[in-house]
Amino acid sequence: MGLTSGAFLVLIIGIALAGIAATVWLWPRAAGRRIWHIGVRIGMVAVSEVLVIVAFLVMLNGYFSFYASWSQLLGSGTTQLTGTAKAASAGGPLVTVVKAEPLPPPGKPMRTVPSLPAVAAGPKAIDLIGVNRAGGKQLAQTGELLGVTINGAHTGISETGNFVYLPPQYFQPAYAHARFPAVLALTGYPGSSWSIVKRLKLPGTATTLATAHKIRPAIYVMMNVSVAMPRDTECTNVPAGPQVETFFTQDVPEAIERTFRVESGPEAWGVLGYSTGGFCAVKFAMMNPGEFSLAVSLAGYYTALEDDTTGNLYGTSDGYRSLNNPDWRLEHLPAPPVSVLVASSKIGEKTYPGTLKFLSLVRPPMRAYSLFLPQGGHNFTTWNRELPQSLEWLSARLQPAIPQTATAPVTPRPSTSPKSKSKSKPKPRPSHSGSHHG
Amino acid sequence: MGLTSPVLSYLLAVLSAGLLLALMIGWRRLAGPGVRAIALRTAALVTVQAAVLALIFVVVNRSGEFYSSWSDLFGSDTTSASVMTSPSATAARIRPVVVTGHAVVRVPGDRAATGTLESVRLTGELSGLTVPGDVFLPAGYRDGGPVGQYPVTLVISSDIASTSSAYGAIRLAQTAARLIAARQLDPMIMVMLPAGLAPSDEGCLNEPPHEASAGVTASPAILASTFFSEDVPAIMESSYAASNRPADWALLGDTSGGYCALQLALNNSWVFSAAAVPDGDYTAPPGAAGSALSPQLKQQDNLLWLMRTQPMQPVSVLFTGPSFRSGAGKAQPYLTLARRPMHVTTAALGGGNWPLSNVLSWIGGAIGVHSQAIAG
Repeated sequence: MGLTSGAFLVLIIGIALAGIAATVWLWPRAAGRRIWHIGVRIGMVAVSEVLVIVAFLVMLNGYFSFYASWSQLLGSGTTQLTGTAKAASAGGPLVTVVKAEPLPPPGKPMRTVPSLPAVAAGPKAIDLIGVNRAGGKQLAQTGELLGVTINGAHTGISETGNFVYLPPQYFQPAYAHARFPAVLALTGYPGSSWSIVKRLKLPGTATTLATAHKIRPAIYVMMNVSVAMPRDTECTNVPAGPQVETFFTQDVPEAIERTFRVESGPEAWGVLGYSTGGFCAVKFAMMNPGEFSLAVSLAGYYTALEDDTTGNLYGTSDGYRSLNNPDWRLEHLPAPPVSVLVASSKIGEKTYPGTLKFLSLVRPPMRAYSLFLPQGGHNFTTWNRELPQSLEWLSARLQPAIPQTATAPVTPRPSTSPKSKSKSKPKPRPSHSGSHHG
Repeated sequence: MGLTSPVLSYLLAVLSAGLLLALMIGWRRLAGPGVRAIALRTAALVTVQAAVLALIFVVVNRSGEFYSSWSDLFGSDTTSASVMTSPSATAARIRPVVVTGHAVVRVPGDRAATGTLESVRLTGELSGLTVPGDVFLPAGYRDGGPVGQYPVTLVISSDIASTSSAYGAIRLAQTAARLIAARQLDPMIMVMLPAGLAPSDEGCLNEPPHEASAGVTASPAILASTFFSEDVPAIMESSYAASNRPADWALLGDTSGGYCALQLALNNSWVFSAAAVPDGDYTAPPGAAGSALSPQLKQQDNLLWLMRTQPMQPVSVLFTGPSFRSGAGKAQPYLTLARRPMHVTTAALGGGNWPLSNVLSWIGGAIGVHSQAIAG
């Protein structure tokens, strides 16, 4: 039974209620005057309290999508990695679509996707993109949300349960040959990519802003920041371990660019994240300006963590840890040609002092922008308030998709359908030179 | 009262304790039969549990700073702020390429073979390193060739200044010029750089900084890998007519730069697609690499370990040696382990005045062939 399934939640609430009922039922038996009667009373109240707390935690986990499955909560991510290393190198597809559906109009609730049943597998799975089983021309108005598995060709890391949002324009004739900019969106730790859809409301906010012509269309790739749940890898190339930074900065863009009509190069790629995802977003842009020219960090931190959930991330080397530390890099290495937007709150956020320190360290050619709410804690309500401006900030700087218009015809590219794209030539390597945005 | 105020948690703690105590004392009174007593028990128990749950929530929320206020918790705070730009000065422009010398390549006895050899100082924007080296430009460079389309071979050797070594810049340029004139090699740019960018690094790795400790002097971080895999391609693409396709980039190393070349190819296969290196097992970087202090970093730097544990990278590797007969050579494990999309082959170095002729020809073929292999 799934950790986040409705049936499990009903079961666990049922058990908590049964605990209360049993206590009430057995109440008179502990009503004696002896000492052990008092012990039984305390025991009964405690057991029933623990059951209530467990039910509360399961409910919270379902709401926030901290752990999407039992294996994420209990499983060993590292053993999983070695298994997938061989699978990915065997020349399988880089992206597998396991679910595709139109996005509901703004205001309408998302259908819950507690688990993603495989509707297709194998190389043909990619054919699902743009398949509108609801009928009509709906996708050109709604856009499409895909559940995808991304296989890292270089690292062997494979991550399931990610979401890709294709905007309505992706399906409109004027954009049939256009290449779109892309934003990689990352969760915090622990988290699951579904919370970017459901709680951060990224696709919904993007649709609303695009309808109001406040942002231009882009493709959003929504991923869990931890590829080896329950381990917190802090997006690090772990020495003699999973190469998580390479996965997100090389494998993921390559997989997306070969599957969708996405522009390559840092001008067309931004990365956004909250909490741990914010740290990773800034670290990715700073360490890979050839891949990402823009980063948005909502309530992120800017030093390299190591704790019980991360394990040994830096090969017991303080120096290697420093190389993964954005603050340290700004103090000791040339600043990279990227722009970052850092958001925090003046009241209610532990990350505020660290964010101020980071801002004070930024030097040209790197540029920093800040968004400070007067008050707001480390939660989705706060990030929901910061998201519209973050998306507008990204949209104003990302290389836009150019529609084909009647007045200015654009020569169509020879092969840009998703199918033929996956067989096209290897992408040119993006260059970081001249990628500086104002 | 504020959600995160300590008074609230104290109050809830006192309330929970008081309610628990009252429940223990009043237990007997509620123990009677009847619907009313059962309803009262249920109400009492639920109240105590709610108080304890609220206490736990408030304490955890306060320590984790999840919700900063009641309006935060209930989502009623919609205040926003505007994006501010930090004061920012303009960056001092760096000059990526300084040409310090310039010579026409001449090959005795072969008047058709020519080209240009520039002595340069390259400065990397991301690594901040400035490195002296040489750049070979083939005959007709910029004159007829399509701009931005030249393939590039990055040569890494401590012998580039030598006039006698086959890996010396002049000898290499002459070898390439001959092959290009004889149409055995498509015109290509060669950028030739030394292997050791710092005393602490000879493996072209990103050398972490070291704090001073007993017997060890402090050393700064040396981003040699960043220089070779990001800065050099960026410089060649912006300042020269170099291709930006990974399929057009190859590495060539001698005994001093072989580890560099193989390491850069295996760790940056999205930048380079071929490497030609001398026979070797490449289980550790040459020189006194500081990362040897960490067993995990040491393992990550073992290229044979990478071959055994990481996915096969889309690169072609040529091991060169005096002779490769059945199973001979330290590179044998690489030949045994290699699977698609990686290709590993061996070749004996050519003899005579131009021992690297067949190696350059192999590179010319590998970068052309490989781009088609991926496309197909």
